[in-house]
Amino acid sequence: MHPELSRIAGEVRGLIEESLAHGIPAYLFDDVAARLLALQRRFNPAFAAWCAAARNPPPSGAPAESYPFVPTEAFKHAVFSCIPDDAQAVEFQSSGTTVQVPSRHRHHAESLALYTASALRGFERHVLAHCDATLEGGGAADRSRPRMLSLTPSAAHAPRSSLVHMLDAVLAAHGGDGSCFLGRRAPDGTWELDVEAALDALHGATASGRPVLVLGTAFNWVHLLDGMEARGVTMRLPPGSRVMETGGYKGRSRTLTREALHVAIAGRLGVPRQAIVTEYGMTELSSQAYDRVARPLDGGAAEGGTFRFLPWARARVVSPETGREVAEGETGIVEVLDLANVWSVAAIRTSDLAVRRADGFELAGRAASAEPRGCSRMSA
Amino acid sequence: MEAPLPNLFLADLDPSLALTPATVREACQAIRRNRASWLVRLRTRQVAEIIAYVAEQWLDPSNGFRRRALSEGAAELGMGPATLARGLDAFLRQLTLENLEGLVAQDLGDARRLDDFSAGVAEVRGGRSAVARGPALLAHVASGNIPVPALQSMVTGLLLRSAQFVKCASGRTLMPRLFAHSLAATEPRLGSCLELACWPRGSVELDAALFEEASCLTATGSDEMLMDVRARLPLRTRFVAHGHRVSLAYVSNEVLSTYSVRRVARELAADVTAWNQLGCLSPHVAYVQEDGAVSPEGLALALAEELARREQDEPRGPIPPEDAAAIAARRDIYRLRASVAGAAAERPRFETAFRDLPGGVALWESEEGTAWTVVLDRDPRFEHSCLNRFLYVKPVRQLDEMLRVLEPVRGQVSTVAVAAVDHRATDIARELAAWGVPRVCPVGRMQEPPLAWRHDGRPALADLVEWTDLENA
Repeated sequence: MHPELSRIAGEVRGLIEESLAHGIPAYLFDDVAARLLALQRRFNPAFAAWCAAARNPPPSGAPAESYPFVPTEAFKHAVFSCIPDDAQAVEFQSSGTTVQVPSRHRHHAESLALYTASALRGFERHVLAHCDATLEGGGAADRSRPRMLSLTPSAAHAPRSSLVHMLDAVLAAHGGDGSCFLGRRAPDGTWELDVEAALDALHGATASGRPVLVLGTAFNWVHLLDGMEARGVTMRLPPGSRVMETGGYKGRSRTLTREALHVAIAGRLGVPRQAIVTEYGMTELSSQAYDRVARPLDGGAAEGGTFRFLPWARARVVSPETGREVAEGETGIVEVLDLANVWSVAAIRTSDLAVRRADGFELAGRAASAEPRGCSRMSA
Repeated sequence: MEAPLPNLFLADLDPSLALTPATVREACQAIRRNRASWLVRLRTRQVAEIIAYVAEQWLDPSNGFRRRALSEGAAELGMGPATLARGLDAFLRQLTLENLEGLVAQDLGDARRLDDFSAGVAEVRGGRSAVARGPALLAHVASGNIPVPALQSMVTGLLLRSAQFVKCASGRTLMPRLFAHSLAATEPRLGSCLELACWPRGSVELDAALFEEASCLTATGSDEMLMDVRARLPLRTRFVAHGHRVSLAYVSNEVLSTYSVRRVARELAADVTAWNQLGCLSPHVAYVQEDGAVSPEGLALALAEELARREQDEPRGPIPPEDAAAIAARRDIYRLRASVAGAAAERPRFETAFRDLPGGVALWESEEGTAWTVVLDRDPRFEHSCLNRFLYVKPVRQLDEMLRVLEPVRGQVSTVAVAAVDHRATDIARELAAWGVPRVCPVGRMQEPPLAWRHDGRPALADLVEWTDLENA
């Protein structure tokens, strides 16, 4: 199906592997992005219609930035995909509240493989960096395989979550003995944490003295922290332990600022702040941004809070008034050009407001409910 | 930049200086004392003369307070000076001696009710008379979206000769301060019966000090905020709450002729641009009857042209990025619905791609930026606009259909503007009244209620006063 897309996916795959050492030159990124969007305009009917409806439809051969970026909200109401209905595919869905219509992102095997590669490389580079140096003991084969505890449900229980798919791949590729998923799905479909199992696993990890990685969404973390507080539990995870937290509460728990959440995690689990990495990702993307590289041991004052994508995805902060990039320090909407989104749309406009920083962005809240009522009923 | 206002009120002080409950209490006690020693003895005519004089001063283009309000207020409120001037002037022009005395007469039965015992016809027959008096200390918790309600509350309190404490909304102190300073400049003793302050939401100790001292509290804001305030008020403190309200317009088919559609569009554009649509009296939706000579699309198009023209004379001005982002995001959704839905039929293997997108949508928008937007949506259900000059046009077959789809917001509607020929307009108003709409007005005047209007259907003065009845021997 669409050999042109498969070819460009191969190119992107190559860029992902090579860029870890050398980055991607801007001209090369621009070239791939423009060719990719031109193909998507041919093969993705929703995107074709979206381009036709733009105020200034891009001419053929237009640079990527001149395409109309597709708002994530639009993924709730149309399937932006080059993969037809009758193909073998899975649809990841966003985990909005039950009254909201979820976003849908269709993947087939090839597309999923690219997503997995993109997600793994990003995770390795930010959360697992310097792992070899921090892990001691164990056999040689085990040295770089820390125990990983995910506070989310497993892929078997949350097959439509792109986040869980990513964590599943991470655990399969890098998780040491005892790695597991500690969440479950409640009858109403929301995610719960098995607090007892989580505490057992965390105690076990502490007793072993070997570093552990704990991964979860912000509301997973609040559930864990609340559970620990209720039981009066505080622990000190072994040195070198790391935490990944990914934004979003979605009404599933009380809401904390990122700062307050990290202070609470650091206090309850005894990990330093620079061991806590925040990931920024969404169903509509195949690449993620991170706010720092985990440095659990060297105590450097690595400033968190500014997100950067990996070289194969590029974010910019645009003014909602002009559509142009804002000046540094100003607030606008985050737009992402994600080369790993080969079979959907590479040009995504998020609902997130952010302040533009030197080479990244600092989140500043979500745009007020973009969801008009006429839309929420549609797929009810 | 002009010199800062003199420190007359707590709100004039450096905002970084934290207030204490003791300061709030002392301020309340001081203005109550000043009221008892002077203001309470004034007659309605005397107070009304001061208010009318101050309003007249404000209407003079060279007036310092006015100039300052327009130059500094535009930035604080996020709207252009022309928009601000139009809104302020509509309010100030209402503050005439005649209107002020008229308000007392309307609400309390006689213009002298606050001065001495007086009697209406029924009371005379019964051998009775009565005098009304305002609360000793009237406190206001003001909302910040537009400045007029806070000023109107202050005028009401002055007419009642109450000492007044205005708790301004955060970052929105300028207009109440300028108005209070202009009153104090005209009559310093009046200024000494007023206090204005501002403190962050959630400062429960400061709130408690004010709630404890106030005899009556008015509050404007979200329903959630009002519930919270009510739960913390002492039993003896009377509470007048103005919660979240929405407004809309109804355009009847007989004014949808090629001749009059332009005028209706012009009036609707005036309503949408007034206060940048940020007040409770601003329209979210214009319901348009379908079977006129001009279709709802025709009206939407004419409205778009009028809004574009208004943008030239009375630009909306810059708004915060989150508000602009809300408009941009909503436009995206309607652009998607307007365009993508039509493409579905041509792509059989992508049938599900479009399954959830109803069409029936058209979008008109400012050429640059988010200055104004008109969305025609055939789904008649009431939709909250994201405001800042964003209007829905929704076709309906008749008034009944509109009232049916408004059911989810029954009890929250403030104003319905009606565009209809005279003999129809009264019938329509009757139906709206029966349904529970508190205010019906012509299109073009939604944000210009008369001074004596009944906010949320309640009388402005009568809800605040207490009476002494005198039964003659």
